[in-house]
Amino acid sequence: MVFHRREHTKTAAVFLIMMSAFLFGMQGESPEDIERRKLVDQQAALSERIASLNHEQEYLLLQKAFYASDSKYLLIDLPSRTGMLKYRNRVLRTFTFTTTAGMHPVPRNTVLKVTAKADGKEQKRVLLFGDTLLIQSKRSSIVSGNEKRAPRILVGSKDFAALYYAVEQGTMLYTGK
Amino acid sequence: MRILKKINTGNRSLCLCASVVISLLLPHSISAKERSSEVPIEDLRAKVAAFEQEAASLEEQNHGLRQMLKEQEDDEVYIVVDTENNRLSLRRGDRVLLTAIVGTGSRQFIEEETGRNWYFESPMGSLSVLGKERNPVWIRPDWSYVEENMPVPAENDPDRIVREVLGKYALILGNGYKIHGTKYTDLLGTHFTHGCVSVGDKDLEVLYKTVKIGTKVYIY
Repeated sequence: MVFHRREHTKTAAVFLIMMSAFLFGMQGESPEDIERRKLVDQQAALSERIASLNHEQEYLLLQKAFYASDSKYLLIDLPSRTGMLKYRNRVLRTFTFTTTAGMHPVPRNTVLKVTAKADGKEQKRVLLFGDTLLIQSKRSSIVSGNEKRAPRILVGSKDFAALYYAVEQGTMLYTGK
Repeated sequence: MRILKKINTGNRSLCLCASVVISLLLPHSISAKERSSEVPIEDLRAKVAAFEQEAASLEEQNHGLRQMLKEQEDDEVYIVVDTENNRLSLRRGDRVLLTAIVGTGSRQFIEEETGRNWYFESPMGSLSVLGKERNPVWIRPDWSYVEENMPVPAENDPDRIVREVLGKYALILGNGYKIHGTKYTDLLGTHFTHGCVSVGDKDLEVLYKTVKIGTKVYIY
């Protein structure tokens, strides 16, 4: 009986060692798995890089067009809340601004055009970029109608007066990152 | 009884082993199934190679564009006049070297009996300094007489020559427009000129000494 019990224990131990070795081998990744994982990661990183290079190229091409054109244009940098009125490669004016969200936030990496200059008393003046964006003086009264739904960029009254006078229908605006 | 107990204990450990084996094998068999539905590795390699090529090509294009734009940049000073706020700035690249309170065109309209009319607005757009003058002389134009209800003299009449009203210096912009000094310093910061840009003495001196003939002037 004693012999049999020892024999059983030995068999179970051998079985367990073999099984754990087998399972351990099963758990490890094969070289193909490792390569696949690396390729998938690489693909994701490259596609992100391509998207960012495409954005950069878009901006550079736009800058090239602006430098060649005979019109003033506006550049808006949303993270730093600063803007520039430029003509070709020259800065005509820099300004700071605040934003108020409409139904949607100010779109990024987008080219917009001044579609209308709402005239009237100083506080009612607005630069309209379709339904996408409004630029107003900080002292302006709140807009009504469809424009109410668009996000607004609010600039100081002196800056707004200068911008309002400097831009015309068709003036382009580029919102950066 | 003791033997039976031992057999039972052996069975229990065997069952435990089997359940461990099954639970460990189960996820493996699922991941094997998943792998069979994955993209072939050759396709992945090809895709990554294509992406690498696309990124490299974009990088090269962007480098070329950046270079081209950089070549268009210069370190020249330029003048910007904001006619709405009556401010002039002397700039180099993004830097502001000087800000001055100025006077610009009154945006007023006058008409002569004969029908000739004038609108006093500063010239908008991109201009250049065409010349620099010390102790400039003002040659009174016709509108100056019309404005004061005076008879307009002949073109070469010496009465048209007026000294010491334009300050010590003037920068000529063309078509009769200048950046010059003024006697009416109290009016700086307002729209009071007939289109020229009037500047205080100190600022005018800095401008005169800094800019060259050909310096760009942007009036908006």
